[in-house]
Amino acid sequence: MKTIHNDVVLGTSVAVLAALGCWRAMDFGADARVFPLLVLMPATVIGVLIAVRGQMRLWRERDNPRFFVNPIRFFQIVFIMGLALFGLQYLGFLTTSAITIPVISFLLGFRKPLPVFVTTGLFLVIVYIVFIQILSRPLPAEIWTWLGN
Amino acid sequence: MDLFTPLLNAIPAVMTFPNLLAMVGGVLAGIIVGSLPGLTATMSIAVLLPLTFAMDPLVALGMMAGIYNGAMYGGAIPAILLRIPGTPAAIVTTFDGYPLAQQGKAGYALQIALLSSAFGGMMSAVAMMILAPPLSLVTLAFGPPEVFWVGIFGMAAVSVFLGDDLPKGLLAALLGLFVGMIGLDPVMSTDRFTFGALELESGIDIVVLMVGLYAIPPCIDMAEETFRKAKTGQKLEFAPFMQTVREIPRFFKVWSWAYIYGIFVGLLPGASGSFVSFLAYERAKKMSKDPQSFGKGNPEGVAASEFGNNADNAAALIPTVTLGIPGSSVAAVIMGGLLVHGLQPGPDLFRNSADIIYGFMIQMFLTSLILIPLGGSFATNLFAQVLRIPRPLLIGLILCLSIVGAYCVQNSIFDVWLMFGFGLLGYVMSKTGLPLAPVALGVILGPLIESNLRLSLLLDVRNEHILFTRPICMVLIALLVLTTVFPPLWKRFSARRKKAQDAA
Repeated sequence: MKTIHNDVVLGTSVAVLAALGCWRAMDFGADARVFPLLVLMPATVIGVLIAVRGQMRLWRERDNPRFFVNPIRFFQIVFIMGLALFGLQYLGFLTTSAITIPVISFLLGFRKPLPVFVTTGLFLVIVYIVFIQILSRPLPAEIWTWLGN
Repeated sequence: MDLFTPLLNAIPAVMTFPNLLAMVGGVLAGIIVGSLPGLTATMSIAVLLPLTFAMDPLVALGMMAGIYNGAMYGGAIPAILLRIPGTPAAIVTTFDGYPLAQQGKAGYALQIALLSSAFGGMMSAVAMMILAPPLSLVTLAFGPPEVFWVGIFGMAAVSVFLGDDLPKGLLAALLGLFVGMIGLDPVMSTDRFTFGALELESGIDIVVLMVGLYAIPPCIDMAEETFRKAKTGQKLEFAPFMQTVREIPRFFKVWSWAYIYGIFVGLLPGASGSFVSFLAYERAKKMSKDPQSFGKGNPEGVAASEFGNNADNAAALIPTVTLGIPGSSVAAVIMGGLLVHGLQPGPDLFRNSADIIYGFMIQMFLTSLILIPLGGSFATNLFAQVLRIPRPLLIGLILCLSIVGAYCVQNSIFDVWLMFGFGLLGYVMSKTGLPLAPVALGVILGPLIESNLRLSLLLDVRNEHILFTRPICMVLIALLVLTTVFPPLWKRFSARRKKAQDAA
């Protein structure tokens, strides 16, 4: 199977995005575009350089470092991050944390209910005392306050 | 310049109860986080930074100083007990610490690590007290062209020193500069790369970026790796503490070299504690009458490594507080903390906020001193048990703490999105060998570099090319060339020589 070196993907993506950035920067005012162009033009060149070097390494050494150690676990974490973001908006911070911490723990293989729930409870109490009571930080509203209204 | 008066003036503010509590809490939190492999001082300060928003600046800095010094020692605990460095700077500690532990002297090795870390940190703070104030005065001679070149020099030095690959280091720096320019342009208020998002107009908040870059990738890494079975509690067999204290004179020579390396490397932007540890360890080995014993459990190896990686703690903050150029990634986060509290590094910091900056130097000293009782036999035994926290549980706690940290910056869910986005970016960067610190530095220095570049161009009314012809600019350009050209050439030369030696 043909493989693509990580650096080829990285370099090409950077070069393309930086080139697009340069193109967009041309629309800025005369002064405002100087610095973006000074940053993005070398980024385009370095991106190409990294991609070419990566391809040459692949030809020469036939070695491509693995990107994911465990792709399933990676996507599990990304999925949970998405879920937490969704929950944050609709369930509130404390409720989301009360769900997220046990879910991560169970998904990743630690399935002893007592330590999981005790730790989660302690975390919520500490967050409540520090952020809400002491620092008076308004965290995303909890679902029960919405339901109450 | 009178050094002692501002220091003495700052003492009453440092000795208040909230301050002392913040320092003790910071040291404890630092030791706990440092002892957890994969979690660094940078990450812990970034995650805990939002906690300090409502605090008095000096209290907040005391907590950061405590976390910093605590984490640098905490890294030695798993390095000695499990041969897993808790922080990158503790890699060298594993060389002799773990063999000592295997000989049943884990407690003794931890005591040496504790004393070396504490004295290293204290001496580093003293160097900061002596060097930072005069250096800040030098910066008074700097106008916009000089500040521009200092910024470029800092970016280049970090790109070269942090990482093995120059193009990737430079790319990371450019990425940071790009992120730093998102939002309204500082002079003409032109909308740049916001894609219509109102939340981006004021730019990317440094705390959101730091939490994302430094807290999320270790969580994903921990989730990906096969979970190491938690270490069961073990007795560490401590020698009487005073017995180890009486051994201190034996380490003086090793510590002295580690100190010199620590201060020198700390002053260089980008060079980190792990580099100092290597240098100090190699020197200790060369000076030893029994170099063969290094790597097999020589306490001098632990002393050199731990003193070295703490000797650059405060020293790395010298370029941060005087020039606004962080010497390490932790220094970049601490600089973020200074900016959050409205403290702009540079000579004005020493003039207008003398109590705070001198107080911070005293806090760097005191938190190293506090390490000795807090990291003593009982506490170290206790912290060693921290290694038993199951990783899946820890990941959930860090993720939720990161969410609350990012949200609290502006009470915005958009910032949480951004934080996760930067987390994934940080993960990709770590997998592809792009160093993280230049990004953080780029975001901090980008606006400074740009505004000074534009000011310099405006000042150059007679077309005298002031960016290149002023004496300090010329020195800085020479330094820049030396920094970017010399290390890669030296590396190539060393590799060739090693190859030739191997072939011979």
